[in-house]
Amino acid sequence: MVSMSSIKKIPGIKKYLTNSPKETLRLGKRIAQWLRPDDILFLSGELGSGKTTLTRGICQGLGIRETITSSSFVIVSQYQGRMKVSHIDLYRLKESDCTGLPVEEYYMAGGITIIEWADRFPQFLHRIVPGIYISMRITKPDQREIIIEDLRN
Amino acid sequence: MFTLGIETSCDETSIGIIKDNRVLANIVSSQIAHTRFGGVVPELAARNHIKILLPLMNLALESAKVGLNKIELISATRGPGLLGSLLTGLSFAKSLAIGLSKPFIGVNHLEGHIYGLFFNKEIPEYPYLVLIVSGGHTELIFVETEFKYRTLGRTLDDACGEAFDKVAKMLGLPYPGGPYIEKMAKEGDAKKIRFPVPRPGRFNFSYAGLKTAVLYYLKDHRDYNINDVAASFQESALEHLIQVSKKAIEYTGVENFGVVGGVSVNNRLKEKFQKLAHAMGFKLFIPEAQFCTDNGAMIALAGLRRYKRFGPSDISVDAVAREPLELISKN
Repeated sequence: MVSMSSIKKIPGIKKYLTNSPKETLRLGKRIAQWLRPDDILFLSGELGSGKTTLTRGICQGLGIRETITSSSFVIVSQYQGRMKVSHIDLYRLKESDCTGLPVEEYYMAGGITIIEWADRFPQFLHRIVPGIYISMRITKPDQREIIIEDLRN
Repeated sequence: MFTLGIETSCDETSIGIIKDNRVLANIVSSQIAHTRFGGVVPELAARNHIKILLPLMNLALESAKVGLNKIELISATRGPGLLGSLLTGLSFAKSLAIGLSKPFIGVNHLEGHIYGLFFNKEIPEYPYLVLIVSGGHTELIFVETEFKYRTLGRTLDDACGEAFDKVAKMLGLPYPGGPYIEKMAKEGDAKKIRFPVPRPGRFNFSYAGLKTAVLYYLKDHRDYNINDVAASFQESALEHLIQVSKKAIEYTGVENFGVVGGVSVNNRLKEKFQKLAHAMGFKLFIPEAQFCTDNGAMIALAGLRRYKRFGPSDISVDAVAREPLELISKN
């Protein structure tokens, strides 16, 4: 089960511990229930911390039936569920490669944008853009600490 | 028929020129980036594809000793791939076709890879299986007759080549990591570490778990031997391909099997598949390296074959991020 211990002092920040990829997937499905059209999710965390698994859960929660695979190679995949989803992965990008933010052209009105490796771009790291910021950390093999900051308008 | 093939589905910009199935030129931008144009083609490819397409085409025409007016068909990748990148190549091809009053055809990238098998003297006989294994794809396709495809399995998470790249990154090796892993693996002992061979079921593939297993190992063994890690990882990653392929060959009873895509350049992969082919008695087809990785020649040939059978594409044809082969399969 997903155990939850909200950090009381700062509203809008929640901390979760998941103990298997299955639980991470389930948390993703739960996050999907909070989402509204035009929301942007910023995911950060090292390789293997479960960003794609969480994304898969979110997409499943949004009613997407297709297999959600890693977007590292193609950088962006788009899916249609209850809302449209752009699944963007900045893993291979460096800030110096981009003249602007590499995500604007994939933003779809009324859709959900999920950005993996968001911390590669300082604009995202510094929480300038309103959205949901999710950082993931490997605490033990199979255990992940997932901190969710809801900074939506 | 002189055909120009344009490939821009991801990072590589490539132009191929063929006459029937003879390759006259096949140039990939990353090969020449350091010689003629200077600098490296950056990751965010679309803007760079635009810059490089025209000079690259001129270079290809020059090396094929063919004038642009001789080109009779223009073929370009329409997907799957990175949309921005695809659009540059596709728009370039369409403009060229309109300007030259020549037919245009949009090609599926995966079908292009399959036609990479057809530049050799010996070509597979139908029906056959083909494993497309690269940084962006890991798919096992049953080709019943020409243009008739069924996807038996594909990766459920990371592509095989992507796992190579990510493990290379964990080991502090440069990108793209595949060739470095192979080099390190040669010096290492593949039996030293037991990384699990994934078993996602049916004819599917999965690499996320193996990637994470390597990560855990590195965290637990600060003094790890990089060569042994590379060798052990590579062995499990390739063994996964072998086990699924073996099952699919038994299931379909095919006597011909092809491997294409960037990872098929890996020598250990070739060894393992040759061994399997010998044990099971099927014919193995792996193209030479230039037709394994993304290239314009394979797009030219796939376009030519399709054009001869079905005629040109509509000029309004759009780029697509995803297009399973079933969608273009003909009965």
